[in-house]
Amino acid sequence: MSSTPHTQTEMNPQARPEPILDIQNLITEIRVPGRSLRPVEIERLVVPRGQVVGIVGESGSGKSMTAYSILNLFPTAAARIHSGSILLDGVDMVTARENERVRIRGDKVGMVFQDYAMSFNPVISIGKQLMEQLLTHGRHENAKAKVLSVLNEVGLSAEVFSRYPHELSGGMLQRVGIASALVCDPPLIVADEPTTALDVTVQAQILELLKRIQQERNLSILLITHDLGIVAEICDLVYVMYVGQIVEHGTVHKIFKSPAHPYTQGLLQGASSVQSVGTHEIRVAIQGSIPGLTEIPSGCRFHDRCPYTMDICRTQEPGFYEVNGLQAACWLHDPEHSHG
Amino acid sequence: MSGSGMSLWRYAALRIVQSLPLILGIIVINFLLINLAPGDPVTALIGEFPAPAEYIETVREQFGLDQSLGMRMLTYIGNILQGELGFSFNYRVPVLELVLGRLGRTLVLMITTIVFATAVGLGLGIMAAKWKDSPLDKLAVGFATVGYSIPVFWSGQLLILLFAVRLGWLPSSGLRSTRIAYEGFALYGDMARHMILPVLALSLRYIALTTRLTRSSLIETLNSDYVVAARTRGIPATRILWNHGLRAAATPIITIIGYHFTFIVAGSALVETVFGWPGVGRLMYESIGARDYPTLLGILLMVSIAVIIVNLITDIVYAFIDPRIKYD
Ligand SMILES: Nc1ncnc2c1ncn2[C@@H]1O[C@H](COP(=O)(O)OP(=O)(O)OP(=O)(O)O)[C@@H](O)[C@H]1O
Ligand code: SF4
Ligand SMILES: [Mg+2]
Repeated sequence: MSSTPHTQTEMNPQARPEPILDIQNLITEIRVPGRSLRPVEIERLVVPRGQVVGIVGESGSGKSMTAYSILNLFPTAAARIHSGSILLDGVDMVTARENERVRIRGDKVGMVFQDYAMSFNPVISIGKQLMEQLLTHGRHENAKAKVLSVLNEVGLSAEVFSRYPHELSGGMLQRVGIASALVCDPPLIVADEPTTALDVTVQAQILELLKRIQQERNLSILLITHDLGIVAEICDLVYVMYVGQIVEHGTVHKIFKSPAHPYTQGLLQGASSVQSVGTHEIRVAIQGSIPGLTEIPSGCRFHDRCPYTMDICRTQEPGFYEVNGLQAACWLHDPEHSHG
Repeated sequence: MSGSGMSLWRYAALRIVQSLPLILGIIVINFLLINLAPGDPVTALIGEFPAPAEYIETVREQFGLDQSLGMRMLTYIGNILQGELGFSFNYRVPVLELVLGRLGRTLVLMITTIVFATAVGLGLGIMAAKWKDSPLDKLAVGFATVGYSIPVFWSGQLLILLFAVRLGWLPSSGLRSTRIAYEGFALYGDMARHMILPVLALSLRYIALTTRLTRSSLIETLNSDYVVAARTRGIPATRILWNHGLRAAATPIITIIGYHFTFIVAGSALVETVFGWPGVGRLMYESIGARDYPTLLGILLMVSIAVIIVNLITDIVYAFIDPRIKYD
């Protein structure tokens, strides 16, 4: 959806070479009594500058944990990054010191949440909270004017500045959420299900807003969603996630045209078999349900639900294979097993 | 607050009008309770030795005690409406004058206690929340549990035993030293020394309450979604603690000061009695002993009005710190 659509491989040579976000060999762990769970194990995930990259997957696949990992900040003290690197505009969020990470959060990367209602302090006015963010990031000059202009940019009146969260509707609050993600002019926005909790009509408006802002600012967006309809509408690239891992990625166009991974195929069939994409639960035309982190299957994590399971799938994890310009982690595309 | 200037005053006026019947009820109940209690003020006044019957009658008439209970109550209410609280049986001065003369000492005790207890309780609560589950946290929680359950008169006597009797560091009672006549700053210093133990005794419970509520509201706030969201915006942890955390802790602290105001009033009466602090609480205690009904009634009435006003202020302050609360 950027003005000149291009894929990773055919990057515009004029553009700055390094991507805004480059995740490598990321393992995030949650320590629970007696063991450590791994909600995220991502070999590689890249967000090129100026592009919208989607992450899709069923509930519990680790999308939100991935988003928090990017900030190296978790809602629970039990979670932390085990290993890997997350280059955010050239800074590794894994090895950076905490005070540097604090400076980066909200300044180099803005986050938009699904729970817009809970993302602001109920007893502090909207304007003060946006000002707090600007001022903490050392942007003292014309701070109030900046806040008012960003409120205007997301389609809110200046009056919202002195309002409190409970005085705003869901759609308005999510606009404030986007304003807060934008207020420090970050190059990247991570939006975790930004429209899921909204009414359908409001969903469309918020999506339009994200689209417009992305184009006007040439932003990079990492958009996490259940909704393949949203991916089709707004994303350039998409990563499909299953039980903490990426199973397939490539351009939206190619993935929708001919998905290479059986899980992606299931997702797409599920989406097309019901008219309303965009409901809370992702529809999967696949039997069974996603396993929990304590019962991760051996080999290919999808093997107990896959219609094409082979012997090797049960014991060995597949690597990525290039299939018609897509990358898919599936033994079906290994020349030695391709006959099924 | 958005546009609540007008409604604030209307709300306050409404609340005051609403509380008038309540105050009337309090007067009637207090009057009946006290006058129906065993004991005769005249006997208390004259003493146990035999007095001529005519003299007793004169005293009775003088204080209007020869009239019926209903009549006396109506007279009393009529007087109050004229701002007249009556005449003390015991001290033979107007009740208002008597109470106002002692009010300053009680207020000094109460305000010092509130400020001290809030500061200490806040500090302990913040540390306990910040280092949750650390030995320091466990110590604070233990102290809060014990401190809350010790009655004021008992902690007062323990403090006297330890610091006044055993160690001899601090005076055990009174407002100032009687042997040396201090002047100027030295006098204030001497009074401050006399206040230490009463304030400590009275504070214990409030420190405990404040510590507990500060700790729990801070822990809840620091784990709330909006604090996680604020951290994703790069707000540093210390700023979150001071700006977001303490804002949330303000509510329980206002609750303690405001809604538990009656406890601090009752507590100061006990403390003044234990430490011989000549304030309103001590006066109330003496009035009970002396069957000095007008004084007792006057004090109770003023305390009731003070409680109503403090509760009103508390509600207004609540609405001020939490915009979700509306006046209605
Ligand atoms: N505090 C926690 N303790 C234990 N497990 C957790 C915790 N938080 C998340 N998980 C687990 O981590 C995995 C990934 O969760 P995550 O919230 O990232 O999924 P998601 O893809 O965002 O799902 P949804 O679409 O429902 O938001 C899930 O299996 C979840 O149960
Ligand atoms: S590796 Fe095997 S089990 Fe996994 S998706 Fe491919 S075919 Fe199915
Ligand atoms: Mg999620």
